[in-house]
Amino acid sequence: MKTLRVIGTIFFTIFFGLPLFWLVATSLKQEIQIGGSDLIWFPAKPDWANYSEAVGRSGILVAAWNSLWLSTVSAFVTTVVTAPAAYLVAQSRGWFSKATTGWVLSSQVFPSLLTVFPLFLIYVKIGLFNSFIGAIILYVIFNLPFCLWLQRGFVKNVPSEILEAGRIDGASGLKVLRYVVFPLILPGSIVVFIYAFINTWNNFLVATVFLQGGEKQTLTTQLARFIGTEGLGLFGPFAAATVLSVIPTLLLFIVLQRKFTANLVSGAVKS
Amino acid sequence: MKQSRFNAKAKLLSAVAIGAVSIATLMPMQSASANSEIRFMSWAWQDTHIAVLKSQVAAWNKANPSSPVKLELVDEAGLYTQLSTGFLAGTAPDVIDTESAAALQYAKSGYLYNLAKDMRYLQKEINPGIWTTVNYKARMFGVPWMIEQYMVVANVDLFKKLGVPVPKYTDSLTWDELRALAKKVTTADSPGIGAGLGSAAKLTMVMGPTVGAKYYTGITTGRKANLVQKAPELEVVRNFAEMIQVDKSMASKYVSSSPQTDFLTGKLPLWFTKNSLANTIDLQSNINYQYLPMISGSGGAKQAPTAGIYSVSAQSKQIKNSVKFVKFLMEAQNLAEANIAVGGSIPGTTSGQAAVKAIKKDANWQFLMNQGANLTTAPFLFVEQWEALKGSFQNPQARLLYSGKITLAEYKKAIQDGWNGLR
Repeated sequence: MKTLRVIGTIFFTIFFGLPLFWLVATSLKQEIQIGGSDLIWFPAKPDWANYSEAVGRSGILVAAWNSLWLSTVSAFVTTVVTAPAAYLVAQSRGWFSKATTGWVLSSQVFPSLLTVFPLFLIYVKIGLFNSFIGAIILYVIFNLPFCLWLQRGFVKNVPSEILEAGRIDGASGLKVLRYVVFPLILPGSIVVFIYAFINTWNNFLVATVFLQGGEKQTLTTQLARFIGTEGLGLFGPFAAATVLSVIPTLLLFIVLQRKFTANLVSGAVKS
Repeated sequence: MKQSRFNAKAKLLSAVAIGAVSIATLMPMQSASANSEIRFMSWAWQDTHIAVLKSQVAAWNKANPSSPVKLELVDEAGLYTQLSTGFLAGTAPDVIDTESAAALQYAKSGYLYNLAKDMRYLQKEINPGIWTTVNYKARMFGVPWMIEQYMVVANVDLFKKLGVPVPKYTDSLTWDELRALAKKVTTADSPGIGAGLGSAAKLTMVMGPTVGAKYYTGITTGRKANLVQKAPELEVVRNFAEMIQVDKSMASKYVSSSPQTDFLTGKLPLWFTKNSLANTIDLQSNINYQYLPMISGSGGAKQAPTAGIYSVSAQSKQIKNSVKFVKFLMEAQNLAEANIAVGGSIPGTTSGQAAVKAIKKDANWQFLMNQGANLTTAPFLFVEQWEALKGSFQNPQARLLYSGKITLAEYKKAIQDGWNGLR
């Protein structure tokens, strides 16, 4: 059993680690070493020029900043909206809960590409096209259904006795939510925040359709510009920029993961 | 009790929020594109090209402060997404740097302004074949600023080492002569010639006119075109396949990897590539290189490339100034700078080609610029199903053929079946 687990772990590490290793190795290769028929696992002399070229590329830092704050704000709004919504959906009985959960579930059936054209037309009409606020609303909308389901699971795990105790003590529904539910579902909120942040950070569709024009571009659209026509491209700087673009999400995950685990333990309750 | 009151409040708030969003959605507001700026969208991706475009836009803005241009750079996929949505909602950029084959769909829908009258002064400078390429039903949907042909480039030092003379620019070169030459320079260490065969359908079709290939007959501007697959239409594909399987002068590894590195590291004697890679060879290697004469078959030496074009949106509120800006971009010096920055493509006008020759005195560049006359209209360009046939059938089936997994007859059948399915 232990051997099987070790084999599984090794396979898992290779499966997910190899592409990442290849990306880092490519970012350190010279252009001439990339794409050739000779397999170079790792360059004998790592070349850091791709990193300076990636950072020096026009618009990339502005795009990185746009991605960072758009992802942070969108993730924050998603987290704030999700918690009470999930509480309401988890606690409600009857038609409202069924209708809401059914609607949220059915909204996931349609690919987001399907909604882009109508949304684009609406956005142009109401003046939200090419605005950061418009993009944030979309990011939140696209993140919300999955996050709601995610958070609903955490809320459902909160023992009803605790909620009852709060109400017996005279707390209103909002107070129960604020002082009882929120602290207990903090691990869920962290998961929602991480998910929403990464999802927004990696989103290409919203950025490319709704944020046109150089100064509003995000990192994903900037990264795509390293690839040219007919398979040509600046693959070294592209790999370097991609490696750099992973750092914020990685840092966020490392920082919040500790908090997540700590809260998961401290939030545990006996019913 | 309190719980149910809270639920009621929440339901009310939800209803108010939904109502507010609905009202906001229905409120007509001013479009985002209602300013005096000319939006110029380009898919330029090379740093050198971006720098040239920026400097040209800056020069324009200095001379024309009342009609400033804003350069917007997008990736290839993003360009077409933004154009499709933009034309639909009336937010498309005013001037678009795109490619003639891809722009055709927008031209057919009437989204691109007819430049025929405004660009008439350039007609005598533009190759007639390319002029036809950028016109659809007597409407000129773009003006060609760059043209890419396929050429064979030789590593002169490697040829010397192998004791094989490099054909002179003035010599002729048939497909059979190219194959014989590639065999001569093939060694145990390296194939004689390399070509990027992963998506080579366009390459083979651009080269098609050199062997008299027609590819389509009938009304080729609609869905009623007929696919032709006789000996000339299969000849270029057959040549590549036989170089791999019979002559052994080309390696099938180039189906999945580029020969560029092998050439730039001095291993590969011959490289079948686009002319816009001259700069790559100049900048990335110390290779002493020379272009071979243009390949000439039973149909001559003419190739049928698509063109990089500047188009103007028919929805633009500033068509006059946009056209003026395109005319500025089409000035000989600006064309020369852009084409050199791209890597060595051929400017769309003869004056642009002359301007490159004045800047780049090197024999290879001079030879490149002389090929502006060796062009004809792509016979496949206006066929509606061409892009689908190329992507879904020609490229994948050619990969199988070059890898030796299917025969030429099987390739032909698969393409015919694919075509029948698309019609």
